[in-house]
Parts: sequence; structure tokens; C-alpha cells
Amino acid sequence: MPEPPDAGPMPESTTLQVELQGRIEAALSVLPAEQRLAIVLCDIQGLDYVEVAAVMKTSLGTVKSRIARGRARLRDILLREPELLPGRFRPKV
Amino acid sequence: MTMLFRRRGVHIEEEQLSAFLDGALDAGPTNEIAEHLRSCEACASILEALGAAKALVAELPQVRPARSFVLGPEFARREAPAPTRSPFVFAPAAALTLFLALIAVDLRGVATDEFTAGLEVGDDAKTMASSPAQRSAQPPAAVGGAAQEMSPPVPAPSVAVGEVRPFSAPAEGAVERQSADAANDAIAPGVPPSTPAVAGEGTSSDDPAWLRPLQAGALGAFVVSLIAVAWPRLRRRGESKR
Repeated sequence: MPEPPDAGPMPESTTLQVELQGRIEAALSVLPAEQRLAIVLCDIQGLDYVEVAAVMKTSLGTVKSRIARGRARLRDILLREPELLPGRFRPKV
Repeated sequence: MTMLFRRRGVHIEEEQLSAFLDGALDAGPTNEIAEHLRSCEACASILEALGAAKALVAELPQVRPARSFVLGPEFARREAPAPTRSPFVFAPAAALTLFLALIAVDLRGVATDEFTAGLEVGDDAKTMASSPAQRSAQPPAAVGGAAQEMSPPVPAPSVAVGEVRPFSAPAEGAVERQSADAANDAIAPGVPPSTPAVAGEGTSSDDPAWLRPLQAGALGAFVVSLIAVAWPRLRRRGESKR
């Protein structure tokens, strides 16, 4: 009797996923500490700008600027190797 | 390319696009940007790239702690207990202080003995250094007028502060004793003749033999209490390092 196929992700996609995560973490670690903290609080922890400003003890405008700069820099770093990105995030040629 | 999109009036700044992406703008700017994005492909692609970066970061797997470290209300209400300090913490210091105090008492006794012994030896040496001729040449100054009057032919004996010597033969009686007392008074007025001798014997009776058990006990208490206090801490430190 043949074994049922594994419903989990294929090894190749798992490897690509791990590699992409490593790239994102490396890109995050390149950011200045203030930008990295703002990005993590907003995009990973899900805080809004007012909460991020309260946590970082800074103004709303500063939070907005830090998040925008950090996010733009992340984008630039990740776009250096677009083949690692999932298809939906690859830039259209 | 980035600088192009930061120019006001032509395209929307990245900061505004990022805030728009997060829904952090008021209704007015949000509507304006939405309107602009419908007609501006460049701004739309910027927004898309920023959104991709945000989504990729958000998809990072989060490391979860093994358990929640949030304290419940039952812990929040409970006051933190004051750090308890064992009363035996100061035992080594107390035992060491006692030991040092006993050592100090011992050393003080030795120093006093040496000082008294030095005085006696010094006076004896002075007396022995003077020759009989000198002694006979200076009897009035050394012994005093009263002794000279009572027994002129007898050479004046050397009299030290720390000892009482018979001035003449015991057979001569009470008169000689009186003269000896007078001579002693001339050398050390106001000091009873028997006092130095008693003090000399006292140094031997002040032998601090009774101090030894106390010193040994204090030292033992210091060592034992030090081990009792330090051992649990060393064990705790060793466990925390592991």
C-alpha cells in the first residue's frame, strides 16, 4: 500500500523560506537602531504610530519618519536580490 | 529615483506613503493620496514596494518564550517581600573583632612587661656602671643626707627603683631599716618601698594564659561562621553559573 503524500511544504520551498528570512533579518540588522525598533514595533508587534511614539518616548512625526526611512531602506536591500522574493513581491518588469 | 518621489507637488513623499500604508493619516490626506494613486503609476509602485517590505517583515517567524512571564493579578497585589538578611551575616565580623580585641589586649600586656623590664634593666645597668670609687665620691648625692648621718662608714649600696635592698646588715636593727626607707624616699619620694617589688612580681602573675582559650575560641568562631555564611552563597553562585 503506497504511503499518503506529505501535505507539508516541499523541501525546496522550506529552504527558500529560511533563506529569505535570513536575508530579511540581515537587512533589519543593518538598519540604525531607532529605525529597526520602530519597524519591529510597528510591523512585527503591530503597534500603531501613537503607541510606538509612547514606547520610544518620541514624537509622532519622528516615528513616521523613522518607519518610512527604515522601510525604504529594507526595500532597497531586499530588491538587490529579487529572485529570493516570493513571486507576489517581485517587481514587475 | 527616491529623490524624485520626495519632491513636493509632483509626487507624494515616501513618508506620507508609508504612513498611508499604515493607516496613520487623517481622513483628508488619506483621500488625497488615494486620489493621487489612481492616476500616478510611479507612486503606486512605490507604495507597492513599501507594502512588500512591510509584509515580508511581518511574516518573519516570531520567537516565542517557553512560557509567559507576565505576572497575574495575584502576584501584582502581593507586595514584594523585603529582602531578608540572616542575622548570622554579621557573625564573622563580630568574631573577628573579638579575636583582634583579645590579640590587642595580649600585645598590650607584652608591651607593658617589656617597658617595665626595660626600666629595671636600665637602672641596674646605670648603677653597675658606676665604680666603687665613684660611689664613695658621691655618696651624699646618690643616697641622701639621712643615710650618711646614720651610717657613715658603710659604703653606700646601689639602690635601684625596682628593688629594695637592705641598707646594712639585718643585725643592725630598726635604725638601719629606717635609714633604708629614708634612702629610698630620697631616690623615689612618695613611692612606698615595697611597691616596685610587688609590681615586678605582678608581671609574672599577669601572664595572659587565660587569653589563649578566648583567642582560640574567637578565631574558631570566626572561621566557622565565615564558612557557614559563605558556603551557601558559593553554592548558589556555582548553581547559577551552571
